[in-house]
Amino acid sequence: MAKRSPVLLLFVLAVAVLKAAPDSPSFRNDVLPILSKAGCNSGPCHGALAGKNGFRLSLRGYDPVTDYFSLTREALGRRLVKMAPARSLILLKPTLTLPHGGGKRFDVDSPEYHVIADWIAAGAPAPSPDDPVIETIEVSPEKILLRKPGDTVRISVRARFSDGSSREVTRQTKFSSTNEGVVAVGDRGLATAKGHGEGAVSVWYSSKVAFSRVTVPHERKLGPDVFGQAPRNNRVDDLVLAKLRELRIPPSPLCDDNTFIRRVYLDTLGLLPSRQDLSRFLADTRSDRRARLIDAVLERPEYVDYWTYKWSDLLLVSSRKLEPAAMWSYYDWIRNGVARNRPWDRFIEELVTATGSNLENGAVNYWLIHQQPQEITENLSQAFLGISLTCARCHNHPLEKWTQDQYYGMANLVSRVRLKKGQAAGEVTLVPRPVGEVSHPRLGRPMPPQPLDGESLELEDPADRRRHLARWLVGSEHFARSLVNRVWAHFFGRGIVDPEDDLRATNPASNEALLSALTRDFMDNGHDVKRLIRTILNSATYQLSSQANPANGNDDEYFSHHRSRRLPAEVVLDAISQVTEVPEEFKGYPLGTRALQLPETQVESYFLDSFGRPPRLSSGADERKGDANVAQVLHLINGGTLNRKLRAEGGAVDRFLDLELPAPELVEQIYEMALSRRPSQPEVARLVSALALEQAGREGIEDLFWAVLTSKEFLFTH
Amino acid sequence: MGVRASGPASLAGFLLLATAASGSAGSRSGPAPAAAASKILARECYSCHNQVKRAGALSLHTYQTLMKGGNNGPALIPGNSDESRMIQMVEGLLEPIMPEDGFLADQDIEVLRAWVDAGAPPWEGDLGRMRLERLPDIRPAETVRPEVASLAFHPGGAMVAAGSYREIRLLRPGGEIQARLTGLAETVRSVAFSPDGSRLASGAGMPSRFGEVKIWDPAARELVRGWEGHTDCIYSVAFSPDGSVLATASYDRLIKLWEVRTGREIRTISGHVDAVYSLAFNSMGDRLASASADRTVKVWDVASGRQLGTPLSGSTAELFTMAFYPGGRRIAAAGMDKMIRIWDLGAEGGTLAGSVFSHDGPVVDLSLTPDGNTLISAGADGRVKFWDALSLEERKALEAQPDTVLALAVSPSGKTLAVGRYDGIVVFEPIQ
Repeated sequence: MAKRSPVLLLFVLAVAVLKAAPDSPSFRNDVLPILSKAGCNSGPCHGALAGKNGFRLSLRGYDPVTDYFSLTREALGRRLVKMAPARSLILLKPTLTLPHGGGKRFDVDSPEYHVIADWIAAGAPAPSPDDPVIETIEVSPEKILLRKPGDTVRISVRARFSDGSSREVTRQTKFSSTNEGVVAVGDRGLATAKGHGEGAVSVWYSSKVAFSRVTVPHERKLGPDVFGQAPRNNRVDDLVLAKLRELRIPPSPLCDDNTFIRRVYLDTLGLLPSRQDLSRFLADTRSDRRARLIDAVLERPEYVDYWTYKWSDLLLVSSRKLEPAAMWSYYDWIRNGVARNRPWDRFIEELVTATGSNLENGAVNYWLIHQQPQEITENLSQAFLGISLTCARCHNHPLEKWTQDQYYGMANLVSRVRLKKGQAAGEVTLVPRPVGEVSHPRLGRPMPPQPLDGESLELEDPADRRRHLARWLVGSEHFARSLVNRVWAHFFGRGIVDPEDDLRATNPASNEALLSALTRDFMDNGHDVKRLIRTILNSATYQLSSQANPANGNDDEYFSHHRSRRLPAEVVLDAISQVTEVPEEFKGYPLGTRALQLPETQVESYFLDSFGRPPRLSSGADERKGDANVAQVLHLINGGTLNRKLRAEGGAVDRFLDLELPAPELVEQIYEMALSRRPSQPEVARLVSALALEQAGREGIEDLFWAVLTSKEFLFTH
Repeated sequence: MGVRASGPASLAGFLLLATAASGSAGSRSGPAPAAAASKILARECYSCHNQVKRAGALSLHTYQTLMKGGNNGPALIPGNSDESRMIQMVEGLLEPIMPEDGFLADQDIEVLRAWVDAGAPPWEGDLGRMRLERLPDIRPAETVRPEVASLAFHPGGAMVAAGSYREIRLLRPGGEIQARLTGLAETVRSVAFSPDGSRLASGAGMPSRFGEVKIWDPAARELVRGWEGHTDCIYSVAFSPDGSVLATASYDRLIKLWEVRTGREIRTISGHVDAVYSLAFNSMGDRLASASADRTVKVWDVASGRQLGTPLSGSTAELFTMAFYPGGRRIAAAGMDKMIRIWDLGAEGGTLAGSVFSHDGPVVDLSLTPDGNTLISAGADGRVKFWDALSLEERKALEAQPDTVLALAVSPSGKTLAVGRYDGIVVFEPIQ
């Protein structure tokens, strides 16, 4: 420690270090929120990683200490003039007194101006560890009912601080609407109904986020029977109907049995019902025939194929990074889990804590695909929690509560893994190691290992940190919620939270009661995925017709009718192979392997790629493309896949040629095979005459298949 | 506003500010047409038509830029208000109607017309400056002191210059104030004595507007000469070893060389792509090095102004400060990324010779002892640390200062360190 110099002279008489007067504005709680609200520290402006025009702030103010330095002391006090506050750049630029690339942000003499000016005049006191820290914000009203478009309501926001104080911060709050079609919100919190439905106004103040839910019910009158008599099979329906009633959206009726069996087969098995399955089901007159069918479907081996494929998407099974033996071992591990209906929590816990040889324990391969602690952290939260943490790698997440500190606390849970080359080809052994830390880049030191909002471990604790992580992960409600939402989205083409893997706090569920109840049920019943699927399939909500009524046609998020959607790439291809009775050839796989039986996606197929097969590079749900585009149509109409199958020997075309059925019956059978229904009389007549089926021979049969298999009805669910 | 006067020091900066703020309501006799018109343009048009935004490629920054016109040609025709686009637009006769977000009062339009019809005589200065004359009068609390932004030891060792807001204080080592030099534009961010001690140079100016250089006679405490240069404030001034040339660096990304005797600009050196914060000549005087917010240190040939070799790189954020080692073979620099780095200079630039994570905050200033053995750093964490200048091993640290240290200066004997802080205080510490 240096000796203090005997001579110490002050410029001025005052020796005391300047402390903020009790009533002077606080940097953390007054000045920063103004900069945030004015957008100064937003991504396109000074909040950019590189700053703007030499002036850099942390994105939305996540790092007050550095921001304070930049504003007051960086570049030798460039931005702030203590002795003449009004001459400070921080006031001259945003008022456009001096030219400012970002335009005018507030006026001279506005309240914002004076808060900053008063703060400077008080000597620009620093943020201190003793500052009251914001704990919560409260939005009022929390629930808003607006009767018709044009109606308005004023939203106010209060902040509560660690010292017990609270104050109104509406003026410093940023407002935004989650659904502009329903509600718009102005700068000062005035919300205006724009259309019918439900939305939320999200409010953001000082890194805290809250919502006000806005409901604008349709103005139509609906009789009590609309909901009273609506089909109800289980709790799912109660909650869906409650929401529809609130919004005055009438549900569609149940779909017919033909539609139901096709839907349940395609969605659960990735398969069309055979003509035998179809006729057996249609002949069943028992009232619980749908439930019986569901039970039967869930026991079929194709169920294992499909759901193994689905989780292989999520877990990124691919030979891109894995040797073939490793890839197979990983796939088999997943397949085994699905076949035994392993509880989801135990399944993922096994993945997260995997050790040993990757060929003996397939789960180890997860740790080969992601090797950097940062990558693992981001994938774990994306895949199993529906949380995108990537932003927090470099700065606090702008729209979420997750901070950079939490990110590196989490990353430090997965930093103690060592991979060793094994004996066999493609073999790698995972060994937990007792040392290894990830440094927080801003602080230059490791954070105590801590799963997001879970308990932290001591840095010195020698136990495998992954066990702690796994226990927290699979025990969290968020984990169950994320899986439930994924499974729901699989059957409805849209999550209760949408996008299905974006479960951030600022992205509310369209029916929170429904998602909560399903999550609770899932957790209470041992994370049983098959049970969850059974519950969903048995609900009347799943079994609704895709025929919209005039009052629910616009509903895209409350599940008032079935949402017709294009079949996934693998399902379309398998269905074409199934109907044409000509299997697709995949290089390196035995003939007869269906697309959904492929263990990975590094298998060449133009068809699958153009229909949006995910490359399995990231676990994001948006990797799979579900859109319908021209390339797909062209490939179907002119490309090799379908036409080759129609010309192939030994397929359905050959079979029908031999059968020499009357033309109407031919049409009927092909309809049943591809569309799971009988054609109408006019359909039969039209096809028979248009294709000249009586005379055309093989070409006519080919044309008939072609016409059915390229139709929208074939390619979509109903 | 009198702040930019180049004459001898007169009033303290404060007083000038107060005068400016209260003086704008002034004149009774009615302003001349040009002055009246320029006030309206400053108030109503300048937000978009300034030298940064240049809406429609038209800038009203000065009379000259206005008369250059914009994308659609001349903004006005002197002597003919009816045919002048500017007048037509504010009258609502020509699209787009101006101002875009409002409209002018009739009397304002009349003032503009009268001015154009009078031949549009020029006004003085720039519109940005006029806007600065109408700022609210906000006073700091009584306890607030201006920061010490720069420090320099006189080569004789008996005087220290401390640059602050609109003022330089001349101190005895120890602290007693000998004199105050005033009449400076805004904060004095750099001071330097000439090697023979006969001159003191100051770099000041207004951020985002202009730089100000002043040369003083420190013995007589008089201004010798002063001038404006750069389009932003000055961060560093450095005398060449023979005292004949002054180098200045500015936030405007430029380095300029000036003849001290006359104030004539010798050369502008451009090459940095962000603010230049720190400058130093080598002891021979043939090389000049500069540290910039663009994360590089560049070395320049003084005679030609050409860059020598490749930039010294490695820094991951803004560099604020640098020092040349005696003999000129090595350079240290530091800044926002909290690291001190040293480079050995060769023909093709420099090679990184060492680095150390030095402070829990950005490094604000570096200083070397005259023997080149000790490097001293000041961090935003309030720490002042002493390093072995070759190995970068930490030798000692001062007790944490109560506020950020912005400036360091080492006495010519190498025995005393002056520390200037943001809270306005200068502390003298022995160097062992």
